[in-house]
Amino acid sequence: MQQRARTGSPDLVLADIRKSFGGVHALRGATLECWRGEIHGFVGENGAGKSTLVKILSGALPADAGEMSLDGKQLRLRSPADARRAGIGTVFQELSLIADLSVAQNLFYGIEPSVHAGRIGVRALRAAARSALAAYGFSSIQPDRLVSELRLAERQIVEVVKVLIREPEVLILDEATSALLPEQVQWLFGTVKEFAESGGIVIFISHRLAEIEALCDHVTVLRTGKDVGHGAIAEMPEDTVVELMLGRKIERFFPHSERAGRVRPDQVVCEVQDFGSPPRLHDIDLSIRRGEIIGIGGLQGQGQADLFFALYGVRPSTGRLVVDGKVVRLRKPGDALAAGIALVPEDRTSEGLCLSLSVRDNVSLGNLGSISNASLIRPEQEQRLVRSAIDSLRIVLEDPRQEANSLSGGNQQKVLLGRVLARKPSLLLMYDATRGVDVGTKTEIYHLMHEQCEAGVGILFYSTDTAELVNLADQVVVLHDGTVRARLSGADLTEERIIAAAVGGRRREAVA
Amino acid sequence: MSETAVDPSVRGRWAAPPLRLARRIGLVAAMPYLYLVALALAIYFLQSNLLTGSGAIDVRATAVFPLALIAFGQTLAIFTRGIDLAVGGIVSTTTALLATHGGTSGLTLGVQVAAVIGLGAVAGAFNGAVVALTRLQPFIVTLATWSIWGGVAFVVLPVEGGATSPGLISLVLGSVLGVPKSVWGIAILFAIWLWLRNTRFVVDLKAIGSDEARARLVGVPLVRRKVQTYAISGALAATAGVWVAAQTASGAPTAGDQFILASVAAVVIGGASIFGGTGSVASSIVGAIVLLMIPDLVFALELTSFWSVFFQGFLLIVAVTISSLAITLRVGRGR
Repeated sequence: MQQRARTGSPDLVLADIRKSFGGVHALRGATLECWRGEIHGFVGENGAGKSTLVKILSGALPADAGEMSLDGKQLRLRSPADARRAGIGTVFQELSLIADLSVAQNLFYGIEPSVHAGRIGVRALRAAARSALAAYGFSSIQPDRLVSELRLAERQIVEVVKVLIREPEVLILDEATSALLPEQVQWLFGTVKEFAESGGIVIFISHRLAEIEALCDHVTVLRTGKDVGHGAIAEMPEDTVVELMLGRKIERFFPHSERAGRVRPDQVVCEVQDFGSPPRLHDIDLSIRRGEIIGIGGLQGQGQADLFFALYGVRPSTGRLVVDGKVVRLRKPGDALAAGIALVPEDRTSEGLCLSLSVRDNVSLGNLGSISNASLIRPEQEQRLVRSAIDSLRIVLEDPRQEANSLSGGNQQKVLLGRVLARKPSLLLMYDATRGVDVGTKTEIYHLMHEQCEAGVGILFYSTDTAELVNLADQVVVLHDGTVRARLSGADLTEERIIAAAVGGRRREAVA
Repeated sequence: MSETAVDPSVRGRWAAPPLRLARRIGLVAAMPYLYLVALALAIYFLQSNLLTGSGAIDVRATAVFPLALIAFGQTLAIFTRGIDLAVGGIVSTTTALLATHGGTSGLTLGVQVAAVIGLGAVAGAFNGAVVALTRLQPFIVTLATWSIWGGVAFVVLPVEGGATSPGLISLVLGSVLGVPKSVWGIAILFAIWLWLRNTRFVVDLKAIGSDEARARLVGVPLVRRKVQTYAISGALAATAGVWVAAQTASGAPTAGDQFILASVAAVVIGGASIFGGTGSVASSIVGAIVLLMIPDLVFALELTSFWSVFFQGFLLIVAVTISSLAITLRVGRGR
């Protein structure tokens, strides 16, 4: 990556921004300086204040204190509309698309090409949307489709296109690649580079440090609401960035693999034969031994969700499943739990936790059988259970009685893990459990997986992050179109091989 | 960039084939019209004179129009994931005012009608302002204002009775160009909706109902839209009140209460989700017509009229089941 020279004073300045919610200081004087023509990486753990800063710069939240200016002019942003008028375009992490409106209505909201007396010209709108999507190479997305009908990757693309057609001066991308396929990421990177070369400012936020390294010219690190370091990307190797993010030295990102000793070769914990879940999933054979981590890879939507939810009894399944030597019939999640199968779902907020309940209730839920007597919960047993979950997972909280909602994302994920692990499962299903979780919590989750393996648990682990699969799994099974495309282990287990198998060898160039 | 976006409808995830077919031909949107045709056919074959007898259409349209008016406003409120229960109180107050002050106030008829409709709009705007500014549940806010306006109606007219001015009755009833005024009214409501449905106003309401936080993020003026929505609903409820007062030539302090749940039922039968973001006023009006055809069916079946409520509830369950299936299908597609 060539280094663009920084000349004169910065074009976009966020100086000493402060913001607190109640008594919690989300931002404690954060400063960010960007020059035109620059792609600026912005990193930090979950809860470091990145999203808050993005919201302030997007006009979605008012700052308590601090100054912002663009091209020397002070920015006063009272609403998202103010920010858009000032030339700030944001691709939000949680996407700002309205699910019940069509693609075209979303793309051109507020800038419809033909409006007469409050009435929107439907044909002009559709035509404009079609040509905008075609201009970016996505003519496959129909303008009349409702956003709720789109897949996550398509929504993310529509969100990006929506921001770009407003021709912003500053383009903010908050975790904009999380759902994209490798080739779509390439498209996004190309578009972003073009945008910067034509004089725009890009602020790029991602949990994937490899992406920051590949794309950005400059990087600023945020920790606990303050910027703790910045520099040209060449002077900021990954180790340095991670160190700054965590505020401590970490030995290794991934725990040292002692695969040989961990896996118990002749103790199969789970055997899956001719397993399927109509109509998508078919002909799956797996054998998971005690202490073994089997990674599941592949492009998104190739049946991974079907596999995990079928194994957890949420979806109907066919074929043979043996757990701990017993044949298991799954009709509901309760059957899976009884057989010793536990699931850590991807979306902790909608599939895992009851956010309005306390941390304590969330941990004891699902473990009530073990802490109650004749249907009455025994407080001292509950307390012991909750205490041990909090201690062993190092969940950061003030009081177990506080709402799960009040915890950071990473800590919420740990609460969920605490509940699941308290059941002492034989087979642990982890479905993209590290998605959207900060580096520190990720590392803790990795260690936890190894602890579980040492205790003899078998783990089936799906991740969209190929590096995770390579570094954690003993064997990676790549799914394609609902069945197994490749099994990789030993020397074959590399990121390149996984991606090559996932894209079917046809689009190798997209991966390079 | 290759064509990576495979149309999910081709990939079919959850949906069983018959449901997928239903989705492709837009069956859910067509359901209220199917109910309408089915009921009309049933009634026609059982007792054709209920539909073809002299004045049959006039009588039915006259009964439907006030409910259609209220269902119009109710649909807008439900678009935003809200609900407007206050319509009941507004209708009652309107009939009470017209029945007591119609002949004595000295105001011309036009001014009287404009005044009560204006009052409805103000009452609705108040609902909207409270909903938007306090962020209380619309259900609770409008439950309270329903009670308030119901109270006003009792103060104005403690018992059913009074008399509306004869001019009002001739203003509302009768026909124009040989077509009953109520039929014209329903046609006008359809026409207004055809114009309104592609306005930014309606797009904004659906955006609010779909996801209020995101709607704010894309710049929907939340407070203004909510005030407008409930003001329109209030004005339409008052208009319905004018109609009811003329039809009965009197007022009643509880005249509006029957319309509250009936209007919500009409919207739901029309296929709108009670969770906002979807639906169509035209379908809601058809829902209102369908709902009021049930008593005819009961009569045609020679059952006692008490069965009407039973069948109306039954229809509601069917409609809700079908529209919730539609939501399941939507969730099944993509994520």
